[in-house]
Amino acid sequence: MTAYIKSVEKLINEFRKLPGIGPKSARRIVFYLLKLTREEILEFSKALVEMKDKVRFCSICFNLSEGEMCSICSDATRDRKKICVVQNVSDVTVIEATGEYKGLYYVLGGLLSPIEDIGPEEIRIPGLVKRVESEGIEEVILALNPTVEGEGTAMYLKKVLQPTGTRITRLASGLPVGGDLEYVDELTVGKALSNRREI
Amino acid sequence: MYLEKLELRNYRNYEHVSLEFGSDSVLILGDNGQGKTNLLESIYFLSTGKSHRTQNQSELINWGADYSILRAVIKGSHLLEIELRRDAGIKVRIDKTYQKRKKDFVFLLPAVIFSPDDLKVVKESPSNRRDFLDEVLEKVDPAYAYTKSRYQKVLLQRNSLLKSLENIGQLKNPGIASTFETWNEYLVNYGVKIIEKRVSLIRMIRDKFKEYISYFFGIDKSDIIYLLSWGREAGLDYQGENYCNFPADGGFEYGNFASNSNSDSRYELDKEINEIKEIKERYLSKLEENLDKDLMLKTTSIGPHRDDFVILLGGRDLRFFGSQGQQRIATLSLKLCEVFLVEEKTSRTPVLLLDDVLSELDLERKKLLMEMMGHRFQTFVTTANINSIEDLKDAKMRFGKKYMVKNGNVYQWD
Ligand SMILES: Nc1ncnc2c1ncn2[C@@H]1O[C@H](COP(=O)(O)OP(=O)(O)O)[C@@H](O)[C@H]1O
Ligand SMILES: [Mg+2]
Ligand SMILES: [Zn+2]
Repeated sequence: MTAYIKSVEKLINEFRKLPGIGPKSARRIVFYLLKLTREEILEFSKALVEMKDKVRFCSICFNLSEGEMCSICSDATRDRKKICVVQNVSDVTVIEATGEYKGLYYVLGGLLSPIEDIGPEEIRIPGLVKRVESEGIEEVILALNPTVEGEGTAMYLKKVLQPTGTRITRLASGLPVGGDLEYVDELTVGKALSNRREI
Repeated sequence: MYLEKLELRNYRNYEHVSLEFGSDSVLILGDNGQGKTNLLESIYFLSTGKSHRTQNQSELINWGADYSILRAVIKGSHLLEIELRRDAGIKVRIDKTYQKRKKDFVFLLPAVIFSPDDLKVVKESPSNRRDFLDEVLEKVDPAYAYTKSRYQKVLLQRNSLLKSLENIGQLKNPGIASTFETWNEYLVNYGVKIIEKRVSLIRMIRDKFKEYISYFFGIDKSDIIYLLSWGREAGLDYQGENYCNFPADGGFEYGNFASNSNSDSRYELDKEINEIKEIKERYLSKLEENLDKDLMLKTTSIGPHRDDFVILLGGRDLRFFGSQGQQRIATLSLKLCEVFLVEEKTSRTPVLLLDDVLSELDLERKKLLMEMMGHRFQTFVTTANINSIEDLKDAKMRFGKKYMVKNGNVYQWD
């Protein structure tokens, strides 16, 4: 890297921080950007800043949003008695793309993991419980990855949500939480919501 | 099932070697340090995707090279190719098609390796015995490796939770403590499965084990018993001295061994494990009982990661009261049990890899072993000492091919 001048090197390093971008791609992107006009670069950087300034998180479900409430939470046609619990904002997009789900969401923003010092507060679980209680939610669908942390979180959610009397299901092909996922890698998450089961 | 062709490039001290075999056994002769074990290791790697000697894959690549290639033609089945690189992991092709997942190739060529190191299974700490059970289970139960890795991940989570609980009731992050019960339950779910699978493994091999011991020794009274971690008494940590505090006449009678466990719960024998549900409840309550200790040690003191098994010969624990010779035969018997299980469970005949094992046995036992293996298996036998097989001329084992290994080169001879 020593061959590059400082500002180029710095930008390459910035791109390398992005997910899925290695040193080679970072270099390719920067060399592409070098060829752009000042106007084009301004447009690009403005888009970045605007994204950061305008995008907020929905105060109800923590999905991406431009206002106080996201487009899903403010959509009157959605089924307001169902909440689908996901780890990340990107999971919402995946499920929305199936077009099969008409309920609401709750984005945890992470998974329980004592190793990383992540407990229920860090992933907004108390808020979820409160929401289920106050909105009279009839079904909570857990759409968490079948990793150890995802499963642990699902088990914990089951425990804290059970007293509310809501129906708790998971998005999967009939696998119980916290145990028998022997061949998880063979699971297709595509087997989506119609297959969900009570846990 | 047998290995028809083996080709290595840049594997350990072999730059390039290409060998063809028939279904008969193969003798590999050579002085120490010439590459005998390396050759068997390569076959084992083709079988399991790992070395029996190291976890570090890059050790397998020739010092002067960046990659190594292992190729096997398995009779009546497939062409298996593995490429190892220093930087990237491992690439596998079956019949020229790249494989996505490791488990698709593992055990295309079932193999069992016998090495002098196996003795530590019988002689040394419990972890060696757990490793033995786990390795066998991975060969016969495709889900086992998954279950075990899950268990270990949950265990890490629980242990790190223990670290964040400074002492009982006083927490750095109080919210996180409320997840403790969940992690316990989750740990037990997987832990119970591991126990269940290991216990059923012991049950499957018990009769065979007894049979082999009596075949080699004429000793009828032998047994192999799974020990649950929470059955171990305080101070009885299997580190030798403590254990030897038992009656001076040496160990205990088998009968006592079993009945003691009822009265003072010194051991929980697998014989008493009737229902897995029962273990689960006990396991959970033992976790609770041990909580103070776990908090103090900041680690989980019970569970299958602390289990063990004991081999009894004439009612005594072989580990502490067996002679070197007895320990060797017991080790061999355990490995033969592995062969039996692999055959039984995969319905295929494994290739046997006998590394330097013959020279450690006396003539009579060597003959018995050969008698037993006969010509049922394609067996690769290495030795530094030609005499160790010379005296076997009249035994059943037939060597179809004989090789001499010298400094990474292989020569055929007869
Ligand atoms: N990655 C490697 N590259 C080259 N040589 C190696 C490598 N790993 C081990 N060796 C050599 O292999 C030899 C040991 O071979 P080994 O098969 O264990 O001998 P033995 O015939 O006694 O079983 C040693 O001389 C060692 O230096
Ligand atoms: Mg050797
Ligand atoms: Zn919303």
